[in-house]
Amino acid sequence: MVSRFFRQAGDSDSDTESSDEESLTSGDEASKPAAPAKPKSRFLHSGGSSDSESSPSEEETEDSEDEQKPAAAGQKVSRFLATGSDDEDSDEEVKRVVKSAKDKRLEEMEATGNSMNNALKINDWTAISTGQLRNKQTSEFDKLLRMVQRQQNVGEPIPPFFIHTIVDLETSVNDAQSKDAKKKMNATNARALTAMKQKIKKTLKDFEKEVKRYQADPEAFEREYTAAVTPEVTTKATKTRKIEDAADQDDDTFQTVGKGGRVLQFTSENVFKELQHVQEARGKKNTDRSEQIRILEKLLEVAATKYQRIRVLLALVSARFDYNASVTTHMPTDLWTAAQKEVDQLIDIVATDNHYTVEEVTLDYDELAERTPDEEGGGIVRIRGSIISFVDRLDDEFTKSLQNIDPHGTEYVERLKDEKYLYTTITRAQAYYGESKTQGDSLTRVIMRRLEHIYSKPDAVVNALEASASNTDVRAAASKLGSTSLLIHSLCVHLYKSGNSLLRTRAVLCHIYHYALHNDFHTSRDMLLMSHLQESIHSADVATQILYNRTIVQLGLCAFRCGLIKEAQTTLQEIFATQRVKELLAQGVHQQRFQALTPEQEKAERQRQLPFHMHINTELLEAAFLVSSMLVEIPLLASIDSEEQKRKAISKPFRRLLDFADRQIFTGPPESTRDHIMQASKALQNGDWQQCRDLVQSIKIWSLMPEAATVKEMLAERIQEEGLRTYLFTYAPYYSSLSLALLSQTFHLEVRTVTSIISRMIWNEELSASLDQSAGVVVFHRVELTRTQQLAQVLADKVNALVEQNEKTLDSKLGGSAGWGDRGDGGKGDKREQVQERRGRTGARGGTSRGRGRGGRFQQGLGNQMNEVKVR
Amino acid sequence: MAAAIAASLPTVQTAPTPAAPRQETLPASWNKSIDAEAEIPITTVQIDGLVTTKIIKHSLDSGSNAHGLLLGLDLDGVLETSNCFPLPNQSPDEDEKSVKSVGRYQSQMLRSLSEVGSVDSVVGFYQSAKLGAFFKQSLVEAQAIHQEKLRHGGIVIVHDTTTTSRGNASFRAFRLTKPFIEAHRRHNFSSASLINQRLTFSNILEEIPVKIRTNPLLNSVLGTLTESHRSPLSCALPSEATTSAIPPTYSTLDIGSVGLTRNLEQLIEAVDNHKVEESNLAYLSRQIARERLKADQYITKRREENAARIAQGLAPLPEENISRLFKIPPEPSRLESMLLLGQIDGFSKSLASASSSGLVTMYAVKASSEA
Repeated sequence: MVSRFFRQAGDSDSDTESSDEESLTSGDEASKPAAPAKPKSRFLHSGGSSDSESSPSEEETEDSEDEQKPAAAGQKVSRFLATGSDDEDSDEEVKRVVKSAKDKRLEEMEATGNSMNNALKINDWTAISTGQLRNKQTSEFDKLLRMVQRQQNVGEPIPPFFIHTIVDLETSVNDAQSKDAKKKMNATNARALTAMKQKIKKTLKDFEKEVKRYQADPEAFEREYTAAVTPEVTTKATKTRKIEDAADQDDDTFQTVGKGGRVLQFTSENVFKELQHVQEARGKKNTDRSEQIRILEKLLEVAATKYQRIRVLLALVSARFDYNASVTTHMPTDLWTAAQKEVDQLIDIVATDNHYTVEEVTLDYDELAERTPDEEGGGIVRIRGSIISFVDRLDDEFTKSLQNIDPHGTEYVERLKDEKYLYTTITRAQAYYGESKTQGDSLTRVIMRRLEHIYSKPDAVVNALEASASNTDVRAAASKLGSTSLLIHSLCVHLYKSGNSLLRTRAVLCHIYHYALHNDFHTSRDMLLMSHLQESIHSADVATQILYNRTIVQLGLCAFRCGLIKEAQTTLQEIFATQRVKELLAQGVHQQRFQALTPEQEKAERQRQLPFHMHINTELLEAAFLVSSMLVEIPLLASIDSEEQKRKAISKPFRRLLDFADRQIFTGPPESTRDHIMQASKALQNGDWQQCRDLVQSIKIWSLMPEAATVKEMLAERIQEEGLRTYLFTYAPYYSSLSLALLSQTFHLEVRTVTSIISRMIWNEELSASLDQSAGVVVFHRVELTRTQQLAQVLADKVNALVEQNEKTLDSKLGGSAGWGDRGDGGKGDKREQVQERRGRTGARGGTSRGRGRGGRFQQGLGNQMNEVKVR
Repeated sequence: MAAAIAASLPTVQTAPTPAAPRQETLPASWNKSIDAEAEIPITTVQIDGLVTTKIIKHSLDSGSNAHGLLLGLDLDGVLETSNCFPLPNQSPDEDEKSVKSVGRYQSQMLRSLSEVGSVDSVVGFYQSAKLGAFFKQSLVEAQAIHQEKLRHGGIVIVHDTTTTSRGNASFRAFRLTKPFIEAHRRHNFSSASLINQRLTFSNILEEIPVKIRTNPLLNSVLGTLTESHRSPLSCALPSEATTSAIPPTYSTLDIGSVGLTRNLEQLIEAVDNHKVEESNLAYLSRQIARERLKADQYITKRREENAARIAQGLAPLPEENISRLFKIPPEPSRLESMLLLGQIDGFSKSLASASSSGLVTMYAVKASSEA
């Protein structure tokens, strides 16, 4: 014991100490040596238990002891040897163990002091003041000061040698300055000396009292210090031991729980108290979030009444959501799963017992008191909290994790499996809200969540989700409906009835998307047109706009699958014209070519991204768009003959690609989807429909299309028809008549189909010809326009443009809608025209009809003058 | 008459005045008493047969852009043009030299004419045009210059070669209207001033009735020339049965549409030009609006600042001249677009007349072929 005190007091000569001890132990008999050393070592060890390094080493020693015991019974010599080694071990141990945090500090301080003294001897002020010489960033003196500062913070007395050092330092500084030595010093050294003097002055001021006492009686001061330290060490040692015993689970959180340890652990009585503690600590800077979660889990175990369980669950779920402070990272999966389970529990409790409700706004109640339905007014205990926000958060976190996980790894798939549970939770919540009928807003929100999980999924997946939801004991009324469409319909109808216009909009879009996914083009198109969303979508929020884009795209794909090529083309046109398909569908960040996004924008962009499993394959989309463009554009190209008209392309992206492909001198075999389609287009232009069909059908991406085989068949059919049309447009001038039978043979079409196509072309005035039924031929009447007629047409166009320009100017002059052009049926006409365009009529027709309409009005306006001209 | 002669001297910019020596001796106050005719406004223009033939010949020879000076006298509200002479063709990018040479030629011509004893007082000029589109910057400019120098403002006779080639010579006399002269003097053709003056392309020029006069002797000659007389040969073919010195023309019955095509082409070109001009104007007006907005913002800012300064008890900052700080471009001149509109109007009117007459002939042809 004495030796220990020595060590504590002045650790500077640890060497002698240990040797002292060694001589002591070696001097004793074999049985004795371990005895004093071991308890001491243990004792000391526990004293320094905060030192994490020591605990494994301690175990080691214990292990070795255990091993030694049987060994000792057997062999004496070995035992002696063993103890000897053990002794050495423990000795080493002691040496290390003694370095408790405090001792370490002391040692360090001394070392610093020594090095300072050394530096002093060689008059090296730089080392002391700035530490440059040793390539250290901090000077020795600063280091020392800092350490003392720490010492003071911990509440320990200032070691006398520090005072000693600074006093010494002061004198030597004064000496150095007064001496001529200063002159000999180099510049840096001198500067360091001056700086040092300043620092010393300051430090002396800080420690004025101590220094005075020290100067008065150095020895007394030292004694005082030892006296102060010694009892402190013992008490501290005992205290830490106590704590170590008690806090076997953890040692960090006792500040929050209470310093007295955990004697009265978590019982159902103090649940509220603990809860309040946790709640108070929540959001504070130094709170250990994982520890809070653990406490709450414990509390949940002991919670006895329903009220308690609800309260604890509410706190626990929020604590779990709090776990991740940053917005960008997602919640760990295990935490998420736990949270999901707890939300389930919560909903179960509330759903089974309708005496308890969780509401966002309640009357104030005592947080610490237990409440039962009997005591409450109306027999219902209202608890502050929000289940719907938990569900929302769960869903959001799920999406976020999917956004962050690499979609090509197995982890993604694993994570995706959790959707089942999430979906069950959502349906559970829906059932609860559906029954409670008090929180209509929450019900619509939860229904929206449910809808968003299923609207974009094929039937099989939805059925699987539904099955898992109904397997559990959820009494969700909606899930019994069977068919997916009915389910979605019922969900949407509920949302339509709700007052929230945003949710209504989203529900409409989801509904349309669903119909489009099920190839019900006409229903979905009519719904879209009736919703008039295309007029107001520009003012909606980004997420809804993305949903709108997805819906439109799905509608286009649906039209394509149904074989409505023109509709598909016009629908997809809009989104492809922007050339930012990925960005518009939130399936990838668009690379800005000219300006870089700010980090905030990029972050926001990333948060908007859809998880991978919801993506619409853009390559497939592009293939569909380009093929439909091809089928529309190639006959059109063949039909026009003047350069003037050629500029009016229906599908600019397609036309651009085609021009690019035309400019290519050598064309190899097609590789990408685009190559395939471009070569197919050329084949179609040449009337080689078979090659065109083969090329289009060999595009690999079709395999991603549901019902790929039928789609391919449909495409083949369309290619035959359009091939015929292109052929007629291109070669009509060279024939005076063509046999229908030959045409049907060339294009493998029935004569009836050929006849109907030709009739349609004649009717649309695309082809100046007539059918001779008796001879089975089509007779062409080629009419060449004379120069005058051509000019007259050009003039008509130009004048039309002029008139429109004038009307526009007039409108802007007169101010907005009051304009001449928009009077009367003008506005309606525009709308109707939009509808027509949506319906897939060609834009050109709409344009001319509008031109005519305006022209008519123009004529009316100028009626008198025109009449005058005629009279003349 | 001396004063009148002096006043009506040719005025092309650099032309040296062939001044009569008596000019200086005449006091200015006498002008009025001597020249009583100046008070009477012109109501009709009378063109001599000689002038018409000379103009037609010149137009046919020089193609499109023939112009020359008209000489004559005004008498009792009737401007009698008795002679004319052509001027060399002006290229659009006329330089100083050509202008000088034209002026020299003109003065020499006038001197020679006076030496011969012919009329040498300029009353206006003539201009050939195609398809009725005579609105051109050069015409209007020249007329505007004449307006100031010439007696009664001078007149311009427009001769349409196209209708002439169809066998229907057209001469129209014009002079500038007062609003246009006003606007031109102030060089202000902004939209606002156009609106104020109620100026459109149709009232830049006002038409004066034209009367063509041939002397009785000439009339009788023409009568004898056109009079058909039986061929002395009794057995002549029906086509040669009647002969006349000038055979009757049937060009009005031509059903070809060559003229129509040209007319259309020119109309399209004019419309295109107008469109270009319009877009230029729109661009300019946008720029003006932008600059003005900037200036306005500056002014309001300065005002607010001043108000704040006054509230703080400081002397207000001087309201600087904004025109120095912001260069607001001047309002674009609408003259060009107005003239283009006039051209379009002329082209379309001639198109209308040509096509209507064409239609009539078509019907005639149809009827005759059916008959």
